[in-house]
Amino acid sequence: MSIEEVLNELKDIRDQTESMLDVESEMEILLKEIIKIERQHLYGLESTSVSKRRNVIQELLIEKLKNKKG
Amino acid sequence: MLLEKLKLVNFRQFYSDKAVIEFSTDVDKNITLIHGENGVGKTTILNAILWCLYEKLTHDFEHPEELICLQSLKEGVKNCRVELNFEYENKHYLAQRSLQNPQQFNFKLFEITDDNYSEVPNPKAFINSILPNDMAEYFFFHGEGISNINAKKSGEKFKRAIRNILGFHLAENAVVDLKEINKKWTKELAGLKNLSKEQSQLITKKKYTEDKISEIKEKLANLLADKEINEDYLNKVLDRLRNCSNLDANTMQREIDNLKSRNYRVDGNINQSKVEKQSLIKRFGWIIFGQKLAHEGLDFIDEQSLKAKLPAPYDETLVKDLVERELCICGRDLKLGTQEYLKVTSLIETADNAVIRNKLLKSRSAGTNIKGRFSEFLSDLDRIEKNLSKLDIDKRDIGHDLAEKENLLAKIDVEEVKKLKNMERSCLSELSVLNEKIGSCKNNLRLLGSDLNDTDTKLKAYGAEDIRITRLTEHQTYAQELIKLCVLKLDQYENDSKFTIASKVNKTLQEFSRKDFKVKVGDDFSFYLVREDGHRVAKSKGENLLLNLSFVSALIEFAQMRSGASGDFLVSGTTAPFVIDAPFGELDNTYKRATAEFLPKRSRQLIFLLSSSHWIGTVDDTIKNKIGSEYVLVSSKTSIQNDKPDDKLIIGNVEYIQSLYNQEKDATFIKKVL
Repeated sequence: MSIEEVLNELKDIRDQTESMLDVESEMEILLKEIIKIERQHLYGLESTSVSKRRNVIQELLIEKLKNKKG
Repeated sequence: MLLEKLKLVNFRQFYSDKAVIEFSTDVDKNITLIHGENGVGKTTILNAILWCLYEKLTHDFEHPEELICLQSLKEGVKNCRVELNFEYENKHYLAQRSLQNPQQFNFKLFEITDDNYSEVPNPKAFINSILPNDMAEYFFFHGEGISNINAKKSGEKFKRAIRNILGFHLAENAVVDLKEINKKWTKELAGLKNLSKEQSQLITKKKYTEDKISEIKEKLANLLADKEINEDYLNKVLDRLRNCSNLDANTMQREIDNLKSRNYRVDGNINQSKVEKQSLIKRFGWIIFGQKLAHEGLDFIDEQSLKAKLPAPYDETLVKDLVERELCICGRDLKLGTQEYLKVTSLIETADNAVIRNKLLKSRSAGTNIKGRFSEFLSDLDRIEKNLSKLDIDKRDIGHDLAEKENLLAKIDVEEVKKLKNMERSCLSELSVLNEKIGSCKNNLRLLGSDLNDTDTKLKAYGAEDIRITRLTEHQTYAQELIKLCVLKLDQYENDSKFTIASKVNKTLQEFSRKDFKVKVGDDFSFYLVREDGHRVAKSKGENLLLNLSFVSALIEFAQMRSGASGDFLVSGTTAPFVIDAPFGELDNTYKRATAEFLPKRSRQLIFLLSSSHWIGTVDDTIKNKIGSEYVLVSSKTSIQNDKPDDKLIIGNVEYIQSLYNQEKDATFIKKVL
């Protein structure tokens, strides 16, 4: 890797703060899933009501917790 | 998102469907320039874009209810429309918003592929996914809008701007949703039947504690907002006081008193010199008249001496001796009665003697004395005159200083200083109360949080045998952990971005501001200018505008840089147009040039809406090589011109008349220049 490439990498890290994250935890992955739901419900082809969106998130949490417990 | 074309159909001043602007999408010539004098329709163009995409208008857009062109209405037209073509991720779209009178809005979005128009479902959501409504004010705004960013509650506005640009709203929504889900589970817990007394008590306590925490958090947010307003207000009061301190009344009065004492002393010296002058003239004034006589007398004596006439070249004793001896020096006899005798004895009258010599000596001495006294007199007079002249200059200077200071003293509003001091005291006292309340809220939150943890632990212990309680408390713990994680991540992103943006603003200021100051970001996100020594700078209107333009362009550049970000957590950034109406209002020529230089570098597509006063001279020279598209707004009026100006504008070597009178229609037309 050349110095220039390293500098570019560093610049990317500075500019795109998401890439500064460490290895993602299980909770972080779940958080991203919730945000994905938010996006779909807000900007998806068919945006939905707040209560519908919260129900979907709630179900996801329950599902994840169930799987976690095995 | 890059804007391609704007079409206004019977929208406000723009009559019929002829008003079309094609924006430059060129990378190098990235500026579209639209000229228009005040009231012709520049702000309407900005608002047409905002209205088309978001159905909103800028706060100061006059008569927002009158969107249909008045000329068109006169002719029976009852609708208006704005069409905006744009490119996004290599696809082309047409956004179309129309208004049918009475108030019926219609918004459609089409994707254009090979001249085929396919309608995009849920167009509002699609537009928001490209460039969220919350971000729009930073990309489409006018000059006055910029200064508002730094107005009251500035920290909150900067914070909101950064959060909007970073696309926090999805994650923030997630936090709100998780909190609501958590509350729902608490309600479910409270609604459980067949619980033991202890379980019921713990659940009631849990619900009470959670409600109390929400209530205190809300109260804390309000207190923090009040604190920010107060601090902002205090800073303004302190700025005003600092200005007043330069004009401190007591100090000024002391300076005036000193000047008056000096003036009194100078008056005394002037009088003394005048007395000295009078005395000198009284004593030696006669010399002025006598010196000529003395001069001529001495000259005469000297001349006669030179001719050996004065004193006479023969002595009285010698003549008397010759007469007594009756023999002349030449050997002739000097017998009594002879002619020779008479000649020699007549010499006695003019012969030199001690009396004459003494008289001559006295005359010479008197003449010389008068001459000497005269130069001495002149020298003394000159000294006194010079001193008087110096004292006069001193007096004049003191008089000038005195007048200036007295003028300043008259301007000092002692009451204003008193009022400001009272305001400062009142602000500080209010801040102290607020800080106390904030501290108390934070302390209560800590105690309640600890209480809640205890209650949860006990509830889990008591509910170990009740699967329903175990399940719900586990769910809640899970949701709470997610909320904590989300808030933590948002704070991290926010802080990282805050300093990245501040460094970009600093770079711009370093490059373009004529003063050595930089931007500092407070803990509350307030952006302010500081000097090298760290003291806050009271900004001029121009500097304030420069700071805000630097800030907004840094936000836009930042959003553009983040356009490749994953968008898993935050909304990814975007390349967006920067449409600015009258950006140079408060800027002087140097800052105008600087702004015209850095804005095209920071934005992919720049659309300037300028009046000639903003354009001619500095801006013209700076950006002319970057203009890819250029238009002039021409106002057509049915009224008679009388003495009203044509509003001529010369672009290149072509003259454009911006106001046409005695026309058939009252409307604005768009004329293409480039």
